[in-house]
Amino acid sequence: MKRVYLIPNRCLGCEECIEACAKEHDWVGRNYVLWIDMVYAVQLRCAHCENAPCSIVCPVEAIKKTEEGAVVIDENVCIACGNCALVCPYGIPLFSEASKKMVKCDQCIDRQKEGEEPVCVRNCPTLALQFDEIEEYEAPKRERAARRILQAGSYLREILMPQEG
Amino acid sequence: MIISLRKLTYEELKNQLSKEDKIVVWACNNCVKFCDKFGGRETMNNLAEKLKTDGYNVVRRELIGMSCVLDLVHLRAIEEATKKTFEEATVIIPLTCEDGYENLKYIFKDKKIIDVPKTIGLGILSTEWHTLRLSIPFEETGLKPPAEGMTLESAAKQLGIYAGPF
Repeated sequence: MKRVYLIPNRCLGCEECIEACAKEHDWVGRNYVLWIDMVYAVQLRCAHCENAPCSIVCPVEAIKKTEEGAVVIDENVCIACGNCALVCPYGIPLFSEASKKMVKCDQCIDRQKEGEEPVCVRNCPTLALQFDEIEEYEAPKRERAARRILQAGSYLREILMPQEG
Repeated sequence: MIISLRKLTYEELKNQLSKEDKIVVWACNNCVKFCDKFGGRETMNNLAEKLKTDGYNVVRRELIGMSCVLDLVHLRAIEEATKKTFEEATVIIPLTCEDGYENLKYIFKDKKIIDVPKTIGLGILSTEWHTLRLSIPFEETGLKPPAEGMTLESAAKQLGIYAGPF
């Protein structure tokens, strides 16, 4: 299942993701940019958890996981009780004044069906947001870690004889 | 990050507008947000409210991540959500750096883009100040900042222009 991942050191906090999301979804942006120490930006969005607590506690079963793996709110069923906001570990669901319903990221499932990536990913000017399978996201990290280990080994070989190391 | 100041006062800005204009307040949300809040969401909303109170027709508040990225500016002109508004707008007030201003002129050729920003160099940001200080000025400015950088207020004063929001 593909998810949106953040590469934190690329995020400049420009909020283009929020603006793009708002334009795609009835002018209500469904992700967040938080500032830590007023200098470091962190973009937050729904993680589309496997056992999503929001879907477990929803009393009217308005929150379901789609075939594509996105956790979505059916706004026709939602009663805006806010239980999803209560249990979400990221604090993502928000109350829409316009629709009087709870809303959150649906990972742009309509765009995905047309073969496009989520709009926040498309608009991110620094490519801080990636839409990948977890394997594709982690593989480059493993390679970088492997290179560092290799370099550390090379350094050790310089100071230790092979039979000693 | 880029350091941009403001060439106009609010009164001078109003002199370039008419009550018939359909105005877009356009704010960049990156470097200029840290230029004593010359840009960013809050400044954009405040200016739009101020203009509305003074009887001007603000048809849109457009926040953009980076106005220096031409593709992002172009998206505003073509995407469904904003296309019509931008077609109808007559004036854009850019709270951006000069790159953003140039990009706006390039994309929205038929609009009046108010010449607001003055880019004067590059700056440094720290967790202590929470705002940018000028560290590498453009030669043409003639400014000579100390090692710890120059406040934008001081730079603006020396250049006879303005820092921060309208």
